[in-house]
Amino acid sequence: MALEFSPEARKRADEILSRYPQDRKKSAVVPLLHLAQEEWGYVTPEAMVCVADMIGCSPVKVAEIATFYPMYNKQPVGKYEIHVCHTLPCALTGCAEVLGYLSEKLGLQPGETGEDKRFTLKKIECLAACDRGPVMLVNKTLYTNLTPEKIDDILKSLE
Amino acid sequence: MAAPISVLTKELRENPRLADIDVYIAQGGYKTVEKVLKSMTPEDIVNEVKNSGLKGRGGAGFATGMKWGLCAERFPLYLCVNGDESEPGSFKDRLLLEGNPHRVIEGMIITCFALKINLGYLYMRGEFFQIIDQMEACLKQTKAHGFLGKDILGTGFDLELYPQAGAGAYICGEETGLIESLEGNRPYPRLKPPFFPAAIGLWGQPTIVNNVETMAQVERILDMGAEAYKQIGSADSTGPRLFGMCGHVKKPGIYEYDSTVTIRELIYDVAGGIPGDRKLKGVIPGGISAPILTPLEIDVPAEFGAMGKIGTMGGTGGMIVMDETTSIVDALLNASSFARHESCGQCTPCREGVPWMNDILRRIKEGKGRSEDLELLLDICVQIHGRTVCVFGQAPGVWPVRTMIVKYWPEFKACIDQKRLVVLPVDESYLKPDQYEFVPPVPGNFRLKPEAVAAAGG
Amino acid sequence: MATITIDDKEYTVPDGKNLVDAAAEVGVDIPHFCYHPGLRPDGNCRMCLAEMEIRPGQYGLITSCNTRVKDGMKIKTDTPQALSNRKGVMEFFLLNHPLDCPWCDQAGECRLQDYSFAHGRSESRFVETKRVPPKKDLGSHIVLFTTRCILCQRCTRFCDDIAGTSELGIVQMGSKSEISTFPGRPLDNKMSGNVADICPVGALVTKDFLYKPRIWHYEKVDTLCTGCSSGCNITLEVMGQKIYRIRPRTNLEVNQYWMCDDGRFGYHAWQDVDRLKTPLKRVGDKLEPTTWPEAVRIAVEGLSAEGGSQTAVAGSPMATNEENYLLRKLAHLALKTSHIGLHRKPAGETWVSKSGFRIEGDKSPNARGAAAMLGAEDMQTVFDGIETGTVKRLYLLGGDIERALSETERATLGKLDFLLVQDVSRSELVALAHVVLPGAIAFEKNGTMTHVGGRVQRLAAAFPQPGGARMDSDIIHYIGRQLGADMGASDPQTIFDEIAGQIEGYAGLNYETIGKSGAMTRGAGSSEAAGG
Repeated sequence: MALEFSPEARKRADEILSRYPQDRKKSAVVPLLHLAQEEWGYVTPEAMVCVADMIGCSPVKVAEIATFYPMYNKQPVGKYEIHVCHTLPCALTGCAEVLGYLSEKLGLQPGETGEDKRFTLKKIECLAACDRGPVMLVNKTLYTNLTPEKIDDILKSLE
Repeated sequence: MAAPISVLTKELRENPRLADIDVYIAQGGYKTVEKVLKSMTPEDIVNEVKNSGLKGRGGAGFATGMKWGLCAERFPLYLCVNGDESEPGSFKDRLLLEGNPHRVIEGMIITCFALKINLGYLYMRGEFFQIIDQMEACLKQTKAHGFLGKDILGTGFDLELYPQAGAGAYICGEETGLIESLEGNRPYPRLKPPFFPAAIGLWGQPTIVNNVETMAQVERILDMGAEAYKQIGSADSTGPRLFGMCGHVKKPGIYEYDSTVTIRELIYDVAGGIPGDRKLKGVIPGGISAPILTPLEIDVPAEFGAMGKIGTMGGTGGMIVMDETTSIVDALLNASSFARHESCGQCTPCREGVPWMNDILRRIKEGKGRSEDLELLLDICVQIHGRTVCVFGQAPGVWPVRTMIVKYWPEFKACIDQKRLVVLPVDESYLKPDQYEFVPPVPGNFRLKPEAVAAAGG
Repeated sequence: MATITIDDKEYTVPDGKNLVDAAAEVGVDIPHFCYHPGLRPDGNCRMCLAEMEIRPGQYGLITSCNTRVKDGMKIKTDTPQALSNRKGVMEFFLLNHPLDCPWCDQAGECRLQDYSFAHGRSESRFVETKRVPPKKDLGSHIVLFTTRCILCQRCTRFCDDIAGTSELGIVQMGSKSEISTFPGRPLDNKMSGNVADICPVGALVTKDFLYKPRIWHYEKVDTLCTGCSSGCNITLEVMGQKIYRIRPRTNLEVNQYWMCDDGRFGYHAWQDVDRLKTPLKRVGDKLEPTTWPEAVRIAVEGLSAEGGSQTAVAGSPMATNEENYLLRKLAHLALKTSHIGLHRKPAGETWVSKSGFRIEGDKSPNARGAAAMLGAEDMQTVFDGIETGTVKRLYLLGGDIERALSETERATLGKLDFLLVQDVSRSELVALAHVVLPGAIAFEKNGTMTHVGGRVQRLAAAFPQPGGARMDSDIIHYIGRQLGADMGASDPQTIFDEIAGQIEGYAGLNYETIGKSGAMTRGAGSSEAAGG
């Protein structure tokens, strides 16, 4: 059964496709996969086929893209996907402590999703906010200058 | 010492709402575009930028005017602006994109007019969610105000600019990796020659790839004129620089100075020194790929030329400062893991060699290093350096490994000999400059002098 | 032409030619993995790096596979840097490569083995843990041993640019990258077998060849594929009179570097079919084995009845030029009949790949050559003759194991007083015959065939005919002599010399000039565009 975008998403997809010359639809693959992830929570093979049909290429070419870039999830994630930066500047300013604290509080190792599907904890490379480290993304929101206390407040606000 | 300047960042320090075009215009925004489109020819603009001595701010420091001059006249041409800031220690493009997006757009419009480009893309990190949304809104505003679209300001010049999101891969910051990503392919960098973007770029057409900050600098140059711009900094490195101080400093942040400021001044005067007034162990001066400087090497101005002369690079001006509590072995393992994570996998030396080095470094950290491992690591560096499709193999692949091992040989040796992670007292952890040599011209090409190896115990 | 210097020796090579190819042409091997002359260069393996003079006295590394020769170019392939690079690349390839040589199909024709011996280390310096991704079944014909893959991307480039079907891609990133298909979309294009040829290591292998004996056991026979009129040049690998593998031979004028899967794997049908090993004669409504003397006696009696003027001959598009020519000679000299036909096979759809590689709809290899030899395009005049009663007897060449007869054909042939069929298996033609002579399949023949575009090429026999079967040219020659005609030479090479003197378009050609890659025929009966 072929997946189709909702009318809203379809409009957005058409706008994205209009940014490129007519015969260059393949350029839309990255934004369309983002859209697919928004629409269906994560990128499934069916989503890849849907995008492939829209840009007129074979599905494996979309899989090449979807599996290359770290931002596309091929498995479902929790309601709150947490990415903690662990690259050098944040490592120097205490991300190990932050990661350890979060890991303990959520009962998750990096890479894991909780049984209750609320949280996914991951490590990520530099988020270009090195003067405010340690930093983390919670879904699309960036939190900086993290301390255990701040983390407590953030988690509480996510109830 | 050099005084702080505010050529690039004055407005955004003072006004948090510059993303609103009306606020931007009220501050004098888009006046440069008007002036340029109405009273200058494309050739005038290119000459102005050449004359200004502007060097690209994306890391490579290539003269922007020269890059523009190399653009083949085979229509259509395209502009790709690199906002894929992923170099650890670099966070200045985020500042400009967040705080003053319209200045970047203005620079893009001027660039496109100068090079007869009618279609451009601003490629931004996929993780810059709010920035991307904001940029979409800004571009809509710019178009609504008549600075984009057809027949801009009645000059007959057409231009469309679009945002393009990345999806979390550092290699998209390589100019041909960016182009491949924009074409919808796996972002494998291209062979150069023949695929220099100015000759064969996006969809096979001549393409200019410039950094976000470079675009902002272009607007400043055309606003104040090349002569005034050249007065800032030195002949080697004109114009303002944005230095990103991070790591072990009291006042991390972005600081706008000219290139004559020294690394020492940046660490101690600008960024307030090291917390707890601890001792400096080392500083990586241009983003993680830049070869590290020991405490004996920081009296060098942040000019592109001066940095290049001592074997490192000005890069993106992102300075990662490390104090005496830092294990250089651990720091290198971190840099190596970053490289392993971001290697695209296209070519053999990087795909296989970078993870191998990472495995060896991990063993050394865990106390399982062997006496031959350091020589092995340096040998693997030789096998990767200059033999890859793109510069990733060198930086961040080889340069951190080679320079940290060579300069901090004692600390690495100690970890191997003592079979555990050792943090030596700062002054014992690195070699004196006369114990190693830099072989120009490529940064990071450091070699231990044989007597140093002997002195350090083999 | 351009004069270039490689390792201090001067050579003259075509200007603008790819450097790896140009060097190979003059006997200099620049080691490479990812480069293939039939694919666009990719420059990812890094093995081919050599040094080129960029300024007088100053040399820099270049990617040979991506460089075109220019007059005055100076190249060095043996500098310390170049040699060190090869050693380095070999070491990198072998870090995670499994020590599978003892049971890997590629052994003996593996670039890793060859270059390791020439350029690599004798011991590994790698003490870390190897990656072990599982192997994959990619489609009907191909298996991927993922651990062996060096990610040269020859296979993906092939599927994208040559086949045009894009089933293969690279998934994941960095050192975790793997070749893969998409779930539910296997590698099943009509030329999929070529990816196993071009894979420089034992990663992509055909299921057909999996675990078969080592390649050094086989005798190689250069011949033609006879699956359609494309005339692809092939090499058979034979042991003990059995074919173990078929691979394409390079011929830029015909099949470039490729062959289709039907041709590559279709030899089983020919080897497995129940062959006719003795002549047969009709007894009542059955066909029974008989001896050669007896079969020939019946054949001669049947064909020469009433002076032979009511006898027709029909050649076959499955037979060689020499065989069809001899049959016409027999018709003219022995039977003095003008009833000559060509029993064509109805054609199906032609398939063209993205790169222009063709699988012709005409599934017979020599319709064009046969028509030229016989001076007949089809069976029309012969069938008309049968219907009107002017043709009562027929000597028909078969040789196709899949030829189904239409109702009309069956009905018309059924009206004959006498039908002699020369064939290889109990086909539908054989079922209608009065006497049957057992002939040879293409793998057992020497001779020539002319492909759809007019190129005449040589077939070579790989093994003898089984049992009492004989080469068709020998049979026709013998029948002709028994009918009283001077049939001339009986060996295909001399017969072809006669063809060159007799058949328009074949003038000036002989086995020497045809060589291993064939030669274009010209004029009527051949392709105008060829010119020469």
